[in-house]
Amino acid sequence: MTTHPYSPWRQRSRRLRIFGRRYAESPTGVIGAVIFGTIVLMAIAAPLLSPQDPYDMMVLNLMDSRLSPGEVGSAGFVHVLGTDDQGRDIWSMILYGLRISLSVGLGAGGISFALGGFVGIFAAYRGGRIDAIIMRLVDFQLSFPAILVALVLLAALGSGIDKVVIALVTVQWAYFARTARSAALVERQKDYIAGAKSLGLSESRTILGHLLPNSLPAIMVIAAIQVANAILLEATLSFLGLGLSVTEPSLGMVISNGFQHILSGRYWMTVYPGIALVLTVLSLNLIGDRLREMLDPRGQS
Amino acid sequence: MIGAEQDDPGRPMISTDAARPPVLEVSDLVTTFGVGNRRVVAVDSVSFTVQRGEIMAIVGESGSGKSVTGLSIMGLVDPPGKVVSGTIRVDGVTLDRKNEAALRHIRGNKLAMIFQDPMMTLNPVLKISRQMTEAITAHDRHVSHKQARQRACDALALVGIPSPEERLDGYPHELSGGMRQRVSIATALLNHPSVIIADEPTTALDVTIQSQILYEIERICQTHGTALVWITHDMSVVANLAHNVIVMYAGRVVESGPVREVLEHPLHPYTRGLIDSVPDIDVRKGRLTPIPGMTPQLLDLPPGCKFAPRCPLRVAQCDVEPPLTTRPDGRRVRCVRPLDTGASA
Amino acid sequence: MTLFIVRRLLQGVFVIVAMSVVVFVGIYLIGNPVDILINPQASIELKQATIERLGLDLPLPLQYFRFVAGALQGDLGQSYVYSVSAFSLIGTALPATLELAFSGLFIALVIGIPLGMWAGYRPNHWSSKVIMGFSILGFSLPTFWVGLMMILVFSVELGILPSGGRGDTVSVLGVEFSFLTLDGLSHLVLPAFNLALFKLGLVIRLVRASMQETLKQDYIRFARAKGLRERDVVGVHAFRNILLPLTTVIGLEFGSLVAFAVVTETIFAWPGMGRLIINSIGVLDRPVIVAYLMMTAVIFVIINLIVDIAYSFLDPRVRMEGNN
Repeated sequence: MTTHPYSPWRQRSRRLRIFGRRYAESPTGVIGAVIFGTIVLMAIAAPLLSPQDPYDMMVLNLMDSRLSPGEVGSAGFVHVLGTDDQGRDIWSMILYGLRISLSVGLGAGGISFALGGFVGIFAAYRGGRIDAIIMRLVDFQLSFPAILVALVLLAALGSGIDKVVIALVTVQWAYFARTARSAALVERQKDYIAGAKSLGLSESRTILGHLLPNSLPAIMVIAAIQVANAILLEATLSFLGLGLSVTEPSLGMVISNGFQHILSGRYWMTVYPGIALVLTVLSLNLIGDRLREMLDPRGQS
Repeated sequence: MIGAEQDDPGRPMISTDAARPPVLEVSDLVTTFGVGNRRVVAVDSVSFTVQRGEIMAIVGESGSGKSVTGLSIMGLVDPPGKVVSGTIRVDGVTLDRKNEAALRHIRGNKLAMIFQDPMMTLNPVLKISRQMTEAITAHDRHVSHKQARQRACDALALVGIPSPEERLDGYPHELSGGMRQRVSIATALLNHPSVIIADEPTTALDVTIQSQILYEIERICQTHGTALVWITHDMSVVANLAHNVIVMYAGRVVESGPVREVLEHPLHPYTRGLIDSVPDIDVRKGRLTPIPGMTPQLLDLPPGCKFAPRCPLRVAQCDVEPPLTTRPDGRRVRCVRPLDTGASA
Repeated sequence: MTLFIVRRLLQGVFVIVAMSVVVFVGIYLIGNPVDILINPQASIELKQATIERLGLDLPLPLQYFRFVAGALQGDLGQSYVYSVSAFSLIGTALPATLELAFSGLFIALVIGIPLGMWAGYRPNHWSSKVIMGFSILGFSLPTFWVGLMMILVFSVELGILPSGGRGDTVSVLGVEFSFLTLDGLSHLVLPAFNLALFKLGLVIRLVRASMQETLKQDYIRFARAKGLRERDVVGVHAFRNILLPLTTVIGLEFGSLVAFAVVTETIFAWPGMGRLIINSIGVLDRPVIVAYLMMTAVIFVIINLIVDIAYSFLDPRVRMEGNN
């Protein structure tokens, strides 16, 4: 493939580099990105990084239960963060738990992004009555506290990872829809849309090819924060005993398991998984904040 | 020609009583804006004096530094702006820029200010009475609430607001723009200031209201002997109102003197340009003659005379910044070829 | 003004009715409580008797009418589990939750407003940057985990505060309040702070943004020109204006606080509606779930009404429009 100086690939990678450079101007943004990136990598590499597969019944030994951090277990290695009451290594639980937390959060976030984003852009494009109806729906959805909706849905649907994702998407799509619509409305006024229309482009091409890419930045900004919220919400639901089943424990469930041991001073079962959760959510929030700063600069004279 | 109304025997002379100091003296005021290396000089060495009861107009286009001058005197310049140097004396007392408490004591007391936009000058969520009485109690803790309210009521009546008692208990949004501006003026008068600085107070109002307000202010200042510094871009207002005028351009004083003389015999080409560009209802001119070119960007000023790029009388000497010269008759001008030296394009 | 209130009340009633339909249909369609409550191996007669007792054999619309008829008389059905009126169950638990929610809101405001105002007043000061940093942390910390940490630090390690329960209460007008007793207060502190954390970040950010907007206004400059002390300029002129957006947001967020109390109540074993609902979901005690949701809807409507009224007190410009 010849590298024409204006080929789409070249342009995109150039834009990405410029974007990256601008992003990196803020130290907190970089810290957030680095932390989050590290966490994701660690979660992907969980089997490699954990000394034990905590969900393999064969490996576990009840004699190892409730070891405090630093003690050596029966398998011969140091349990850096201790073990829980089933003898599971906390460090391993954190890594595997991150996998679940991240996949649920990113999955739900991604689906909400696509669903909400499309609905919002569509509403903005169509305008008129369709827009009004959709926005009524969005406002209705947003007037309910997220946790309430999720609670009721999970009560109705039962437990399981797919049902949790459904509940999360139900709660989150409205945020994406609203933001996408605002961004698309602004874009719609701009000249290039009129230009596309006058060229006779079909509706779908206008939306997909023009409206969508230019509305994306605004939606990306809230995407990071929404994924963070999704992870938090899922953790909260798991903690309450709703949502994920025992075979797929996310960080929330790990913490929940450790809850009963707090009063006897066995803090490691809740503190360390919690820190992992906080770091994940915090780094995402830092990224989201940085993105928002880039898109909507304030306080510049 | 504008200024014809100047032949008004009713306008009192200003008493230049040598025993009493001028009510306001500004010397070499310098105010800059910006951060670090990117500083812009908005007010460049401005000096003037205002006597008791005098009405002084400061005229210039937007960006000339006239508003910033007013704010600098009051000490109300917000960062990134900063009053860098200069002396300000009120009633003979030098103001210490660093002493915020002393400045606060003067503000609203000896020196009062009125702003341009009457819509937002008054706080929409507070009662008018509150916004007026607080100006009194801020300076005199011992005034009773009743007394303060009475004074506010009297001030409202003074500026021509009907049913002042009721208005006091109302809110700003219930009043029209002209009324709100009157309230601002009344508020400024509450503590009997020596000087009122008015920053384009009538620009945002209808022309008819404008002349009403002008009349009111003039009347009040005459009755109380309050000096007035009127900042404006409108030459016709100057003609009708002021005793003396200062013309500013790019942050500098380019001309000053008694209004009638400056208007009838302007010395600086810019002043002449300002006068000529005002449409005259009495005389039909073929075309309006605006000043060519645009207001200069303060970041991008030429090294010599700042007006030179737009001046029809420009010569090679104008590449050096002319100093502000004071003439024997007291008029000042900053030009190497003032108009009365027979200069022509 | 009265017309305004009446109109809002009618809107509220409409919302509650709509909610009742949605809630009822939704809840009564899920699962089959009989299987949960009765041992599947029980005799058919026992099952049938239970079904009849609970009215589960009637068609759905009829069940709804029974529900509405009962609701209007204050009877929302009997809890399947406790065999007492669902309404009374919720009713007993409600004051506890409200006390917790109000305490949390109070703390969030008392801490958040001054911090936010400072951060808006001197945004470039190092302390403001620290405050904004903490607000991000506030969004990122999972409330339930913070609650656990609080118990760890204050109850287990330091031993100065109790780890759960409500403590002594005092009865005022028939309603139990716990903050009026020292013991009750000590039980209230941790959960209230925990709940407040949830909203603290939001309050700080909102107040800061409001503050920055307000300080740019002309009336602030005019206030200074009058010679007012800076603390009056900020404390009166600026403050009164930031109250407006703050009130609106608080109103919306209070409902969310009440809902989120579910988590805090679970951790601190606080006997409120939240804990009740979690348990009820577990056993599919439908009447209680429905009662909870209806109560929440009523609270929402009432809060919205209060916020609207409060707003019209705070912003005189709105009062005029309400009268037309």
